[in-house]
Amino acid sequence: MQTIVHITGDQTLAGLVEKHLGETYKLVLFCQIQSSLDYIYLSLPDLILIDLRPGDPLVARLLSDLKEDPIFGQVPVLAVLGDDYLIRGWEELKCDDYLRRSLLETDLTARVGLCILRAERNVEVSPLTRLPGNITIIKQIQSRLDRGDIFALAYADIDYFKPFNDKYGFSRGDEVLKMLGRLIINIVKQRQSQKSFVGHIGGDDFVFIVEPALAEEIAGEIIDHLEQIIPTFYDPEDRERGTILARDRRGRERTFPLISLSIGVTDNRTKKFTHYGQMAEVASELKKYAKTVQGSCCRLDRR
Amino acid sequence: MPKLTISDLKPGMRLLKPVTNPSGMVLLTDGLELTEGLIDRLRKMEIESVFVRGGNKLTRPKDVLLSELDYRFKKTETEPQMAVLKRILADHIAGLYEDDGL
Amino acid sequence: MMDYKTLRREIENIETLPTLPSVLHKLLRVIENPKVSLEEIGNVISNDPVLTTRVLRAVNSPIYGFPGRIASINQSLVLLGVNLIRGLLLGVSVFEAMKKALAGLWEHSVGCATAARIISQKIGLKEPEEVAVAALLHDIGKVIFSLKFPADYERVLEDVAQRELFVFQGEKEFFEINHADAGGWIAQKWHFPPALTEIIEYHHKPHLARQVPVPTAVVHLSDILVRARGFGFAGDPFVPAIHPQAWELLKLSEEDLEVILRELDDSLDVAGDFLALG
Repeated sequence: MQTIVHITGDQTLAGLVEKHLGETYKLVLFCQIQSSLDYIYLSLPDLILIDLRPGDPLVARLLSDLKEDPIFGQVPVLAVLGDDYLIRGWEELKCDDYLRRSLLETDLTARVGLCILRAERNVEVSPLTRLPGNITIIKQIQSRLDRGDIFALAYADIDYFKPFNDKYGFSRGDEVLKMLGRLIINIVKQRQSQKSFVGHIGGDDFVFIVEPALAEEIAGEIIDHLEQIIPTFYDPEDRERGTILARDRRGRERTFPLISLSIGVTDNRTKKFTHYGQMAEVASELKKYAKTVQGSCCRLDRR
Repeated sequence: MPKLTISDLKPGMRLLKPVTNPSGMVLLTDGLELTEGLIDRLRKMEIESVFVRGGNKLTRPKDVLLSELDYRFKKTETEPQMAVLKRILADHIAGLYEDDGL
Repeated sequence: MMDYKTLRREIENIETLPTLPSVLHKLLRVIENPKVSLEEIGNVISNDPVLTTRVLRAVNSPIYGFPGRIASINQSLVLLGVNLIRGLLLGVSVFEAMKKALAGLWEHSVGCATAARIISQKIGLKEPEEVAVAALLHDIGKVIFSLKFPADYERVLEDVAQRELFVFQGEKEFFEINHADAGGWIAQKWHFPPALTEIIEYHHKPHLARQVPVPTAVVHLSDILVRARGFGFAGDPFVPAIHPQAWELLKLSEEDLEVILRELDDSLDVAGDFLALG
């Protein structure tokens, strides 16, 4: 059964919602958003139904925070608005859809069903990391170039990921990817909350877009944290030794070092790019060069 | 608790929390090192007690600490290593009082 | 008392643990500032067993995809992100009936974390912070008992005081399990890394620890030293005996212990000050 978190302080509304949805969904009721976050962040409901009152900046901020997270941002938020709620700017409504109170009796069930269905039709989000994939990445780069924005583009990939997968299996490899996805997006957003972007091309390739002035620092921080966290994904003996025994591409057994990260960064401060492919190629070259260096490495465009 | 009465204050101690007057105005900031003059001022202001850094240690005399130690160890002091541990602790506590000259 | 299976289910079904009012107060002051750094939040969290548990539970949740890996608060903060942490901690509740015994437990836990950090560094362990976290959480079972069975646990504490028992003896008599067992159950349920779970479960019987016998011995000794020093209150005033195997594993000389005690005193002064600043 799918779960709906219902946030309202209005008993009548709660009863109404229970009447229409109680049979089909598991309803969890909270009287305010603060008390619901704990539950939401630990159980990932299928929909959040919130009784939205105008002029509550805390609620707006908390919804905004929720929507920014790669995993929890995917949870559809359906707002119930009073009939006298005046929508000044729809972009300020931090929800996916809304429903007027007077239309609840007739439309609630359908709207909830459609909302959940829409969310399930995930467009192009990496199933592992929930980060946007190739199509969105290309759009992001191209639209910034078209607008004339100055930005840095970074390509990151994992060194010695294949031996890790061989020795420990794809399941554990997936764990590493999920962890790295969270790591990159949190660090990028923490350093530059606006206008930054993180994408997951697939496999062990990640992309991020940030202000050129911040790129080196951010790359460094990602590398530092990865190196601190990655040992816990290895078995104790391998962790101690700092190497693992696995097969190389020719099928021969070899020792490999622990996973590290290689990052290539370019920007358009001095260079002019018109097509996303040009910029991507430069970043990719730099990343390949970074890979030739032992251990984690970030290569910036110095030309 | 690291709160000491005025009579226990000595120069060199540092305030843990700011000292405020009844209306909440800060008179002395936290971290401030107390001098004879400041302690005098506190006495004149009729302030009864203040929070002092490390105050925990200074409010308990040595013999009290040692008898508490005896009580705490009474169930296990005959077990292996426990007598040694107790002695090390007793020595440690005694040592604290030697350096401070309190 | 209820049967073992029901007891286990009851304990595992705990949704949320409350903390002390003074901790919540400090926390709200910090997270209300929208520009707060991860470091400042980390500071408040690392000094509170309940907040630490909350964060570790979230980061090890299967939802994120890598359960059982993370035992460090710093790493948890980076993996969860400031916004999520803020949201998670906003809903923290406090114990309704604030008992003095609980405040003493908090002091004891922070004291043990401090001691464990010092001892781990002294014997050259690779991850002293993670051992400190385990020491911070080692008595979480007592918080669970206080939450789930408040009247019963109060009786146990009274009984223990009257008969001059160790609190784990009183718990075992009444519940048939002690706080280490309860803590171990919840750690397992919440997908804490196996090493962390083992230390919580075996801190009173370190000779039975299979995966991480040395860190378990460290927490075992930390508990003993902090009780011996009289810092905080762990439910009874007595010092449990150190298990000979733990003593053997740690290989500490008398000089080592003296140095540790001195460092501990200095750090506990700071810790005591921190907790007093409610």
